[in-house]
Amino acid sequence: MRRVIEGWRRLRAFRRRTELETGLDEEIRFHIDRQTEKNLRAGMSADEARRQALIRFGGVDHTKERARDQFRAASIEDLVRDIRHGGRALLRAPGFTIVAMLTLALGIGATTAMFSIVNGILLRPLPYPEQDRLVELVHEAPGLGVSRILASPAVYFGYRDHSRTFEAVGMWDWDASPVTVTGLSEPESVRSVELTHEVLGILGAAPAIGRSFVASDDVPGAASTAVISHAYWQRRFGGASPIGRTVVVDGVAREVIGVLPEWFRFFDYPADIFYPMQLVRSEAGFPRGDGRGLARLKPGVTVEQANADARRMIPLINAEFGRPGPEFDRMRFAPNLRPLKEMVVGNLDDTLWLLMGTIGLLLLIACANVANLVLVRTQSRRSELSVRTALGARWGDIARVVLAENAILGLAGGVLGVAIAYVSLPYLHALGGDDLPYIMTVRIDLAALLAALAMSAFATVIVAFIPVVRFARPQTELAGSLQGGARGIADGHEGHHARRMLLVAQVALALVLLVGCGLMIRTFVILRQVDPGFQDPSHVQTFQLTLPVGPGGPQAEPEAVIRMLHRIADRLAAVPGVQSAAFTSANDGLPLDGDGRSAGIFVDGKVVGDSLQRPKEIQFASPGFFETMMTPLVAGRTFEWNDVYQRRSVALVSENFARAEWGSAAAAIGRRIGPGPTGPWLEIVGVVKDVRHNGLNAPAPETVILPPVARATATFVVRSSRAGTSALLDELRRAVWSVNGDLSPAIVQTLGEMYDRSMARTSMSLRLLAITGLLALVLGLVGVYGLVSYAVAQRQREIGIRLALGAGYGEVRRMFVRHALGLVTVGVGIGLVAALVLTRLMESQLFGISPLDPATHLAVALLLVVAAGLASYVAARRASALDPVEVLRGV
Amino acid sequence: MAKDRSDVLQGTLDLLVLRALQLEPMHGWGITERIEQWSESVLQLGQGTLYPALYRLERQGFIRSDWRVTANNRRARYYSLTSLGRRHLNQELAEWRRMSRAINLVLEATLG
Repeated sequence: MRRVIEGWRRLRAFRRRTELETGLDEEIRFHIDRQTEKNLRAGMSADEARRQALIRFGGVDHTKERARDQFRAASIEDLVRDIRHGGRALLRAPGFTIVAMLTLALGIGATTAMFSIVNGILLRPLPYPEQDRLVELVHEAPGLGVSRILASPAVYFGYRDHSRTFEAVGMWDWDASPVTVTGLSEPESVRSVELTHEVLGILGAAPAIGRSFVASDDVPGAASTAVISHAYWQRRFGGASPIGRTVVVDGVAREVIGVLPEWFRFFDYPADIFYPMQLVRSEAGFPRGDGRGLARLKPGVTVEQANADARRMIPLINAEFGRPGPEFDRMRFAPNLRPLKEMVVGNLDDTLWLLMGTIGLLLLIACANVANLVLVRTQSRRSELSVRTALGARWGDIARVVLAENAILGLAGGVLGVAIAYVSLPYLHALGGDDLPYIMTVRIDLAALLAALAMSAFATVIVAFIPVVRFARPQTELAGSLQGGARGIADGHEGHHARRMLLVAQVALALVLLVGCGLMIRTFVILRQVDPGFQDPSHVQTFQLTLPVGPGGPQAEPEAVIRMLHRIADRLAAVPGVQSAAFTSANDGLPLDGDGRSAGIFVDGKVVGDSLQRPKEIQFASPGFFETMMTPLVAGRTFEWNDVYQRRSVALVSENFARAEWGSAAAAIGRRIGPGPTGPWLEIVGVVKDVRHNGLNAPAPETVILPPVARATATFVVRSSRAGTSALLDELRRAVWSVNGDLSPAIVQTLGEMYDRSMARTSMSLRLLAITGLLALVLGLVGVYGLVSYAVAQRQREIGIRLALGAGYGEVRRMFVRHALGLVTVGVGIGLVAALVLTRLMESQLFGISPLDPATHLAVALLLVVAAGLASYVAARRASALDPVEVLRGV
Repeated sequence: MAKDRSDVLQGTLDLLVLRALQLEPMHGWGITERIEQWSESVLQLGQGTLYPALYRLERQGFIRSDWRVTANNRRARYYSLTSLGRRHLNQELAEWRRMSRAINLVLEATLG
């Protein structure tokens, strides 16, 4: 190491100066020796001769310093020297250096990795040109208690025709996805997006080849066209020009007109085929929410101005597409346009900032730990520093040396921390799973490196602050410590005080983290106990099938569609090891994912007065669906195939709906409900248990279940103990093909995976909080242990005297434990107060538990006190190893 | 630090050091000894000033240093005049003589 440094210096032509530097010591020694010899010749005693020689010479350090001053052009050399000096000092204490560096690296590394995620997802813009002008078209209706209503064709037409602030408005939907593509090779299930011609332009996706959509593509009845993704082009056409080729999408022959650029991603949805949404103006109704809308604002327009503009247009839209009247007014329908970035990020910002803050606290604890180590170390070097001061080193010099030493620690910790961040970032990112948007790239970039540097500087300042203030002061105040220093037990009140404060701070911070961790564990447990409305989800295999249908869509021959699906379900159920199989119509019938459809439902005999109905969740389930899901039947019966084929007007409702309307499940049987105030009426034949459609942490919606309808896409559920295995999937696929060879299962997943995904956010927060909480606990306990063992070491003489005077070992141990526990209790007290304030910030992450939950707070406090008591007891046991006779003789 | 018996006039220290080195290369200790000897122990250099002066002179290029072994086998840094230093010494000496003569003239005139 030294040779490398030396070589580097040689290269930099520092050689001569280095030689002078090291020579100076020798030269001064030589001088003093000569003077001593001269004094000896003059008849002085050996000691006196040397003493006089030193006196004669004056301040050695001062002389060296001044001699060096002659050779220094700039203060940069001071820095180089101080850093070398500090580096050497650190190399002399490898144990201290490694522990301190690793602690800092851990704190900085974790914080840097987390910052990369926050930066990548929350701070960086969407990867679309001028993305700050993009907004999502969403609305709210506080009168209905609905906070998020999607766009609809009426909104699209209205905003397109009347807006003053929008440059372009577009609408898209993925309801039909995945589509079955035939005509190229094997039938293939491909993710697709249906969109109006403006959408790709709004996102800045100019086609790499061919053309994008134009207004005429959107006209109903226009020639069918499609644009494909770059990846799909490469995969299916292998680089040959696809323009003008025909792909059959769900039975519709479409001409490929363009290929999107390679960089383009349609948000987080890996769609490969884009085709026009041909909206029919006369069919548009208002208010409805069945599609996604987005717009590009004119330059300089704020989101507030856009909202104001939209508010102006709502009455115009309602006049053309809706039914103006008091009922509409009571809804208080209003625009709630938001930056598109929010749609992608959702409410992740709460979670991510919370985790960032948590890890920041960990960094603080790490700094406090290292500050303590440095303080102890500086304390033990106190006599050395005093000697330097006495020999003429100015206090600024010592401050610089101490600072440089800690700066090396801080920087080394930072460099190592960045390495840790590099290694851990993929794991950290994976903790988030599907919950983190993949469209936002997360990596350690310049911003993250700068953040790491800032953290290193911050850590240096925190760690060096107390030693610099305490030891780098004019020598008069240190005069006393020179005598004390000779004995190596110089530890003033101040040193104790600073270390106690650090320990209290550490314990308080650790308590806050542990309380957060405890609340998250409680949330996780409570969520696991939530009844989702079905059982044993990991044994339910799900997938989607999209039927290739002729012109006119599936509705043209509904019975044929249903019969085919029925046949497939029967074949699936016949596969060995499969208990049952069923399906729901469309692609959004599965629980937990928040994807679904809703509609207003009217109850026969109940006059809709002033109270407006909240929309009900609508699901289309085949016979056997609830049996497969193991959703208990509460009253009546479920569907049978005769209901379907004889087109009986029957329905099932969820238990909460039945209770809300009729008081009990049994009372609902035989009642009638319908889509309008005058019917047509459907008879309720059964009541099933509530199912959490919108996630485990959201209440189960009141649900109406109807017999299956003829839709191109259906979602199958298959209960089997072999769910999730590829062997079962192969057999299921063959069963499907035995009915129709053109079908291919898509979005294959088990219900168990969906269940896990709905807990993904909580799992991510829990795991991160658990890791940080554990690290905080370990660091805190190390702090307690260190403080006590240092105190034992410092007070050996006192312990020796106490023992000699008849105190028992137990008494001495208790003294130290009591002292440590006193400090820990203060820390816990402060931490509890801080936790009361800080845990409120995590309220949105919790479920079924208050952030102020006293049991959690107290349990964590107790845990911390007990653990700290143990740590201090173990440390204090070292006092038992002391032999009073030896201690008193030895010191 | 004991006060020097006679503080060397500011600016003359460099001259004394160069003069001491005029005859032969010497180490720092030797320089103090020689100056003390020549000045009949009136001028005792504070080392706090000697070494900085040596380093300064070396940086200015008037002297150079190298490590040699002394008579009793110890390593010591020997300083010697460079040709630039020799020229500088001569100039300074001439200047000093001119100045001291002038000062003497003034002092004696006043006393007389």
